[in-house]
Amino acid sequence: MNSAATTDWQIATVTSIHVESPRVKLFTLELPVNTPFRAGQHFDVRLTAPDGYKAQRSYSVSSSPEPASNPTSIELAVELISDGEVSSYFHEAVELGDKIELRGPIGGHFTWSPIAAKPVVMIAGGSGIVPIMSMIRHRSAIAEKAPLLVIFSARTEADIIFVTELESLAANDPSFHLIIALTRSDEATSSNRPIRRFCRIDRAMIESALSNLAVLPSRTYICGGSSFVEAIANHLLDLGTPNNSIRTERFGP
Amino acid sequence: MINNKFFGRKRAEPARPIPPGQYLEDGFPVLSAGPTQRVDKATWNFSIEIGDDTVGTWTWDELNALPQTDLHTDLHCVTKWSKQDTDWRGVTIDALLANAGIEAPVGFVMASSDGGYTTNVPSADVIDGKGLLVHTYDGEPLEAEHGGPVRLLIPHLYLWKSAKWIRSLKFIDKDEPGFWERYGYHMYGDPWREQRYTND
Repeated sequence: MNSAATTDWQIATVTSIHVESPRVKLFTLELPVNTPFRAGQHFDVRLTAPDGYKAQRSYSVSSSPEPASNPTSIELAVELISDGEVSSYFHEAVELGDKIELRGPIGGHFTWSPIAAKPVVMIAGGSGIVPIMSMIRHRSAIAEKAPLLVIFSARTEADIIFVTELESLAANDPSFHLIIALTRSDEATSSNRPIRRFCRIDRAMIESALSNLAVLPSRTYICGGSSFVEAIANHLLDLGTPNNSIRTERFGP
Repeated sequence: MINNKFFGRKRAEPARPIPPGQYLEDGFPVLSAGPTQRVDKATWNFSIEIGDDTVGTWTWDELNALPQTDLHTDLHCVTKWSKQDTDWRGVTIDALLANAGIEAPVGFVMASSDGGYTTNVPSADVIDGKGLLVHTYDGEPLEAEHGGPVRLLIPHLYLWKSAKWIRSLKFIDKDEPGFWERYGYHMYGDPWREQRYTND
């Protein structure tokens, strides 16, 4: 449960900006107070125009909750949404040193901690990888090495955010199984690496990946656009995954 | 705090004001903490409980045989979107209570759904036409991803209070947190007072 302090607004400072893909920028925000969070949670951002107009949106944290990493900073990933007034502000206007008003952490169901179920399956579509990246980084930062299967669907090679880190983590951890499914490119136009699949995530892909896990996953996390989450959750239910072991986070329409 | 480089998108004025911190949405986003539930109307039923006693149970056919109410209303989701001018058809909680021959106890209600979801509201917020079980949206059977075949609708509160795949309402004396409320969401959830989280 969130404590009282988590809903207070804070004024954070932008300390780094990284262009992660053509549509996603990563912002490191320095918080004025230590704000513990759990992997998978999000923050609410509030922008106020000079004329008083306000807009709020939620952004998931991509950084690990490890105190060692830096307890007073978080990394938020912002995907540029067409006609998105808040995401376009982040992409086009925000500079190093700018102040951003936010509060959090918020949410608590779509979270993972090492005491949670294991092994774990995480399936992400597009920017749905963001809260899952926090979970993956959290897992890698601690001793926990329960089997983890991540299936990540992106449009093209350039849209695979966090790709270098994901591949490096998977290469150095035999219990981390990573599959990247690209929906709009083929082997000829993309670097041909063994973990790439050139298709949408379908039931057969999930079934085959699950069969490679030694035991049934006791929890599955799905994050992405609504239709993506709906399709994947239905595949999992069809494959006999228990209803209450599936946690979902739906982004956008 | 003012963001000097932020001006907001020029957008059409909403037909009516929307609550603070909300933006207008034309689509109908889906937000659920788990998979869309697969509910069979043939075996579905809905019950009203007072404490440990079940005071009424209705099947799909029995629900549809009760007086039906049409509702034109706006929706406000805590994830910041509002949707105006939505049309629903269903049965008021008043009609269910009348059919069971009881009056709503004072106190609170815990709504429970297939899949284990729960949410709490004061009794006063589901009676006097404020709460309905709805089965029809925009003239069509309510889709499963929006909570069909039957969801609770309490449109004056944030939409997480309008439990999808509803199966029971339990009247209780003391307020208890439901699913999201235990994670720090507001016990009441009035969008006009922007009661998103516990201490708002």
